[in-house]
Amino acid sequence: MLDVTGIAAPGAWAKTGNTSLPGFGLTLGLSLTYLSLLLVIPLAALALYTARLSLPEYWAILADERVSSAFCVSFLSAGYAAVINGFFGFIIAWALTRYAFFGRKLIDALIDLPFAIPTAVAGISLAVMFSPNGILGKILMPLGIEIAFSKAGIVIALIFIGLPFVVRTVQPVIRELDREVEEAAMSLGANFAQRFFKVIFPSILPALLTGVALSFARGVGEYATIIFISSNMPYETEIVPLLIVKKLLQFDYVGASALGSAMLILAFLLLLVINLLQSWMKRDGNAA
Amino acid sequence: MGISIRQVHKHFGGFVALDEINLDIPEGELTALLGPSGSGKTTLLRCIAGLERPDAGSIHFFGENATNKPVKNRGVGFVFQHYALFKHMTIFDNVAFGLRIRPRATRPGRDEIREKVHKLLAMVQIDSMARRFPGELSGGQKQRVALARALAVEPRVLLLDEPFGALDAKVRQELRRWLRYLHDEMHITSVFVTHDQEEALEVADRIVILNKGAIEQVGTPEEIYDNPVNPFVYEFMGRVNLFHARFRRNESGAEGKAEMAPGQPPVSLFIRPHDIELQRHDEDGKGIAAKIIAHKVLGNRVRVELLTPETGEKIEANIDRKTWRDSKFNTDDSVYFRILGAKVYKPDATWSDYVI
Repeated sequence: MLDVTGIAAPGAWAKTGNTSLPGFGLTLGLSLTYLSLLLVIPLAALALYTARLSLPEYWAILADERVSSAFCVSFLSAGYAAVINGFFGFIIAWALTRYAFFGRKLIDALIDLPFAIPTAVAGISLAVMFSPNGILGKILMPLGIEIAFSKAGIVIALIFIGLPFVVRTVQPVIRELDREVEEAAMSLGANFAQRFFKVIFPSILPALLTGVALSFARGVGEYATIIFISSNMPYETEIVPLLIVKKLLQFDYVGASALGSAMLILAFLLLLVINLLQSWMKRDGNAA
Repeated sequence: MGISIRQVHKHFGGFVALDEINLDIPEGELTALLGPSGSGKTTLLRCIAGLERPDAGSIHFFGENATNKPVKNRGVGFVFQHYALFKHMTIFDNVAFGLRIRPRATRPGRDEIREKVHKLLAMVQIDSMARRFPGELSGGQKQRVALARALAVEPRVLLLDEPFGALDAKVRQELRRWLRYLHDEMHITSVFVTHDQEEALEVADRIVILNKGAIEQVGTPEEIYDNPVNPFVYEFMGRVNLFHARFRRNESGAEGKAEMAPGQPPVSLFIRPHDIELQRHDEDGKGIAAKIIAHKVLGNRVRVELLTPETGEKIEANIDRKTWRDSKFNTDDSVYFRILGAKVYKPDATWSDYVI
């Protein structure tokens, strides 16, 4: 199907022309084969399945109010969560990298927990914690703050899921910050705020954006954590992945694939924008 | 006096980096802090800058105690070995940084900043690259930007930490000369750190030799080179032949010829390779027999390795190419060498000139 062989002339493929590094043909061939098996073929199947619909039919499915409000919930919650994760994830990464304190290693290890915990477990524990009788719910409920079974609950679940993405992408960049660059700024008369906002933050921003984008992408696709903490009310707190599952349960495969493809396109566009933003910011190149 | 350093002490854990340093750096001069790695030269520079706080002692800038002043208020320009440019800013923005971050009251206007930055960039000969990013520049160009950035804030003191250490030999030569030229134009009190004695000799008005956290000698390049106060300085300032010899008193009672002879108290004899002369024949009886065991032509000089058959000592001589060629010397020849000048270091720690 795909004409990718390991023996393609390197010069013809490599952008740099006569590259002296061997293995270009082989590695690129393997990468493309692997990616097509893993990503392109399933996605193409999705596209083909969706293509059974005519454009007006496709549009009709998406324009359904229940569907569009689910899209709103999914993307907005993921967006909010990603932004909040960006802010706090940055602070956590900063604290964990820049300061030495007792228990740092332990906290550092904790960061990865959301990766390891089954998402259903995370969802249930969050739901219990914020339920009217839960530890936090008991305090928040009387104040009129309702988290469990509300949109806020969805955002909190996504924050939980997405935090490690931000911390883990930002941490190495903070660690690699050049101490001398800060000292140079200091000698030029910069106070802490100026050093932070004009020197440190701009050099971390590209990595932070990557982290936020990853957290966002993860949030858009998240299913298990949310269905436990959300009331899953149509028009209110129903997310797209749940809607897809519901459609599947009703044997509406075409409808489900329509939602899936729309989600895919939206997520792809958003990630593309973030990527472009990043490469624009990194236009100085990372050459030392 | 420009900068006065009084009783400055600094240690890192158990390591004493600076031990009771007292030093005066004259205003308007270019001073080199010279020493081997670990001698405390960079720590001293960082203490002057305020990037490091001394454990004890004080540092005065132009008569005013600056010991506890934070870096940003000291009015120092600092140039790092690895440039430390702001990678996300253009060259122009890098140089303008120090001016733009000033509080509104003292910040120059937009046009004034632009004019000043371009003037500085023209001075360091990279005005055409104002809109590029540091990643697109060569090492030498980056260091020029770093210098322009440091000078933009009109510092009272310019500090350079091994500024040419990361550059290749030719660029280093060029920038050295250029730094000297620049200093002659601006007369800003400057201190630079180096481990390269040639660099210090070429660029500095005054050299401070550091070793193990203490100052060994302070003086002009000539003073340091011609009259090193102790063997450390002598050895640090250039290649050296070291002999352990004994004095034989001549008839008049004055200390005369040094010989590798037993019986007398030992002395150390330091001889620079270029203070050794080679001859085919021992014409006046003062020469010492030796054999050329190797030679290496280094441009217009020839480095010759000699071996004395009597004592089996290896001696390095450095003679000019013309003499080498005219006398038709070659490896494995038997020759005589004469010592034109030497320093003698006695066990009682006195240090004297010795001319044969």
